[in-house]
Amino acid sequence: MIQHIIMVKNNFLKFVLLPILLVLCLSFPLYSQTVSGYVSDASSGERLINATIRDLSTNSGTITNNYGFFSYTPNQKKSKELHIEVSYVSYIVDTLHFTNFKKDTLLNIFLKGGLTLPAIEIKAQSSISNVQNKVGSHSLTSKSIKLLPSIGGETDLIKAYQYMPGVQQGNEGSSNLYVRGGAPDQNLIMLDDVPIYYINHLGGFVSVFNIDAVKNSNLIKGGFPAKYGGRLSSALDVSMDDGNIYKTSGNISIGLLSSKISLNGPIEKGKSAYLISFRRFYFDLLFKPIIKSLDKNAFGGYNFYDINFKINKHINNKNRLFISFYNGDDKIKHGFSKKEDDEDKRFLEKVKWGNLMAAFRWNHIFNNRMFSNTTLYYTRYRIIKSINSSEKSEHELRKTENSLLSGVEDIGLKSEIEMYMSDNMKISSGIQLVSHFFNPNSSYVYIYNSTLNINKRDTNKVKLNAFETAIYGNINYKFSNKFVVDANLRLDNYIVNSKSFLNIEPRVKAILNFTKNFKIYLAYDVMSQNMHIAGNQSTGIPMEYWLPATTMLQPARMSQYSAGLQLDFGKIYTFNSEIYLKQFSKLSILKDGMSLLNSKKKWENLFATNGTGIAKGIEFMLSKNSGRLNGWVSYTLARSYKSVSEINAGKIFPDRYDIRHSVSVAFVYKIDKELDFSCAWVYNSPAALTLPISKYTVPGEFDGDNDTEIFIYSEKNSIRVKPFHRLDVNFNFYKKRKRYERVLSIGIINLYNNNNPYLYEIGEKDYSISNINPDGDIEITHKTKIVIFQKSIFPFMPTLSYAIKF
Amino acid sequence: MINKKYMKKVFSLILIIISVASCTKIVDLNIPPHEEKSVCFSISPVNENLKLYINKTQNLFSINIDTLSFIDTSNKAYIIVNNSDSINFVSLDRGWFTAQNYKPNLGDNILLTVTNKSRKTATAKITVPNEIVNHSISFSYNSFQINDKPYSQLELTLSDPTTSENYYELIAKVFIEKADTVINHFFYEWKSFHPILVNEDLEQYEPSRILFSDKMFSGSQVSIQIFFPLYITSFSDIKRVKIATQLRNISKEYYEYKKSLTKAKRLDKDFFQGIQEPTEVLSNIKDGAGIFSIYTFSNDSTYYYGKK
Repeated sequence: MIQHIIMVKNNFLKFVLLPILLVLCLSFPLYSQTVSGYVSDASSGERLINATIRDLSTNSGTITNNYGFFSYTPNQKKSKELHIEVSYVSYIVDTLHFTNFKKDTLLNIFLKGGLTLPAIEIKAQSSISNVQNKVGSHSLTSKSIKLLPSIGGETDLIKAYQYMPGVQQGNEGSSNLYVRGGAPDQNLIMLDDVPIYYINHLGGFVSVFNIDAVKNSNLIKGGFPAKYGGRLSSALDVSMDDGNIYKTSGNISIGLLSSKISLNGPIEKGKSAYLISFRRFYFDLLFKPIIKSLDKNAFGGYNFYDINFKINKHINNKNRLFISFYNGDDKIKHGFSKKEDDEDKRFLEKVKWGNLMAAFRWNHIFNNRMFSNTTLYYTRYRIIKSINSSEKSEHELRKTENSLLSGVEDIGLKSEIEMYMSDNMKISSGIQLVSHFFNPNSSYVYIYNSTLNINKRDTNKVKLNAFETAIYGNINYKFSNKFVVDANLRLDNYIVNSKSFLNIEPRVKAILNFTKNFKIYLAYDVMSQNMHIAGNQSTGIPMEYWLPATTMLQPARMSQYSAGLQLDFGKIYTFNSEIYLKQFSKLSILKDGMSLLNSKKKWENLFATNGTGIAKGIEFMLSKNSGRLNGWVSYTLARSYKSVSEINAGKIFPDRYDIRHSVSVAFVYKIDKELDFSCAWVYNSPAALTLPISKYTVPGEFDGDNDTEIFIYSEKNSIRVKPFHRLDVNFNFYKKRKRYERVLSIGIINLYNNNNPYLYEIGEKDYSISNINPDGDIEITHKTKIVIFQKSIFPFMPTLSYAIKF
Repeated sequence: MINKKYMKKVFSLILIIISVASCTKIVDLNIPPHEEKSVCFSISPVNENLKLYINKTQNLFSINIDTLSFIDTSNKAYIIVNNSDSINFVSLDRGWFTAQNYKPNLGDNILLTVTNKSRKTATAKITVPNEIVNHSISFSYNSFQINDKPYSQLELTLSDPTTSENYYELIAKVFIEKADTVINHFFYEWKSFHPILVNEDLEQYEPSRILFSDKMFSGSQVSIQIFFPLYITSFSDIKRVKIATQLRNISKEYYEYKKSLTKAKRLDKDFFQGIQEPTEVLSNIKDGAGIFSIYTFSNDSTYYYGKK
């Protein structure tokens, strides 16, 4: 332990203090006057992320950060005048004129919402010349997502990103993200800066993000800022709504599958606000009468809930505090309770899984050019499976309880300073400290028998702890209006079992603006991941075991080369294209047929190690950003392969979701003020699968033993399944009343009723053969053959939801 | 009351929509063409006539699965032992063949060749284990409580030869002898906390055979405790209980074949595991399938008469 502390201290001196001092030295002298502050929504006080501040005289500018803060230092040192334009999609543009701009100015800019129906916005198309942090990323606001068609009336953030180029959804209905050949556990998914480990509710029909509580989100696929780390493939940064600091507002929504209520408003008008949001899925309520009618002693069902809670407090112009909380659990249970022969018998089997997250954040403005954000957080994911039974009579009580727990908990502290040195240079630096507590596989057994006087508890706890320190720095330098470089370095030190791993992650982006409307960019990223996942992420009850990297299972690494271009056609159309090559190394993958469940073997031996992978592709996206019709069309051509010595006899194999061609179309057409129509179509060429192709039988070894049937499988993922394509449509009817607005959404999922693959099963089918025998009689022979069954879950599904906003 | 009825109708409607929405259909996928291979199967002891079963693999999706595929007169097999003359197999019945004039000896090098006019020639090369490994067992009835259930203990003791890697298979059988009948069964639901068996990680797959290697005790003597439930409520009508064991010294190929087979069978359908990647059953037959293996063995048994 002492050794740990010394190591941490040494690392802290080497990697934290020195770079911070260096950065502080670099930050002086400061050249000219700065205008800085926050951009907020005029009606709610909600801070606007990625709002654009443009200097009208030079056409340069900046955007607000994740907390709505900006700082802009004009490059024209001698000019006394400054004219800036502040804009945000679906808000009225505000222009500010400073005729005597001689000293630093701190501003709070409030933008008014101008459109009742926002466009589906893809903010990567901002035309401002120095907006470079959009390389390889897509942003979506909750307002945009709500316009898209939804399953059961429940619009979902993750599903909206599944329409983006380079992103696959996996199984139909799943809320997973397979980004550029990566696996779902390789995505860093954060809610208010805090990692969330598991994002699927059962079957993945909806994710854990309740869209009513979400303000903004950003998915990064390449060109990763240094602050993101710990995962290989992508970062999805989701921000919760801050709450309205001026007036109380709310939203009540009833859908086919779930209902939700959100309320937000001022605690102290203009200074602090709260947000509370609750969503519940009510399949258990629907099933209750059905189960009771089948068996009066039985009970069971499935439900989930999500609670989001947030408080924000403006201490003064320079300080702001936030408290964020999220809790969501899925529960599935079945059992019975009956009286038999004077015995009260009870049986209950249940599985419960979910996340708990709490964060305390502090935004501080040191001066007009220096902003900091500090977050202290706790996050937990766990799954509990339990089987309890009891038999109680007048004389005896027998009781057994069995449970299995798997999970991971993090306690973290992170702090970042952003320094806006000049119009040409922005520097940011930060530190992240995280204690990980892994609990991959703990069990508990309790047995009680009053007659035999047995009262026993047996607990088996497997705990592993790891400590992670990351420091990082980023310099964004504009050499000229045409050439911007963003250099990042992240050093990640990870200690587990007294062993330390240092991951050095250099990342660089270069942007060349040929004209105002045409730019190209290049990016190189190195990412590492210090934890592995064992278990299924596909169908069935989730069984994920998060495990730390160790000497045997070293941290996985990924390097990505990407390049792209962006063409703006006026302010209406934008065309993006990106090409990428990703190389994975040191991958650890659970060996085929291995399972951690009840395994007593050293868990590291269950993995095949030192795997490599390659993913490459090209993405195209054409979007229309304004007008009655807006949306996008995208196409991705991609390949992704893995190679691990102990899997598939060491031969290279395609990923399960190695989708060669992927097309998506999503648009909204605003028919009139009270009605809009949205439509989303997606096509994915066939995914890969391993199936048995031959079989043979060997005799039993001893007399009386049955023959054994053995299957021979195809090479791993060598069979291609059916392509996936689906068209979803939705109408939103808006009606404004005196005190509220109601939105009625009616839609159809899978309009043309295509049976998309969800699951494949090998089964038997009986069939008959008719023959006419020599006597002229018809002979019917009954036979059985092996066939492949494809199960689909959404052939055609009407959806309905009704929401009231007040 | 009216509302309740109304709500029930709404719920039923929703359920109907969902059940209609979930559908299953038969699909044709582009399956790689089936290549018919010879299947060879022999798990034979030393010093006994070598027997071999020959069959062929079949296309899983063929509408004409040949249930009598082992009847094929063009199946031929021979072995070459220690690089000397070849010994032909003679056909017996239902796919079985025997090398009548040959009984495997310790340390023999055997090359098996199986031919068929319509299939690739399948071959397998094995070395018969060098030594017979003797073992002894001791038994104690219901001596342990695990999760509040009584378990009996079997202790296996063996001395591992110092030569090369060794692999073992323990077959344990329980014979419950009554006045006029004998009930016997293999071990099941067994547990072990001994590091050698824990490291094999087989217990969760519930195999009836216990497989282990000498990786953790190479060249030394070891005692391994195995616990198993022996469900006997009363000894009043039982003469005695016999525990009989056979410890086999097996080849590495057979050890891997058997472990992979155990896992493949167990992981077929496991609700809590979700859907698993399939496990390929390993084989030592080149250009074919199955297993060709010869083992040495030793037997031991012990008796328990109940409390007198």
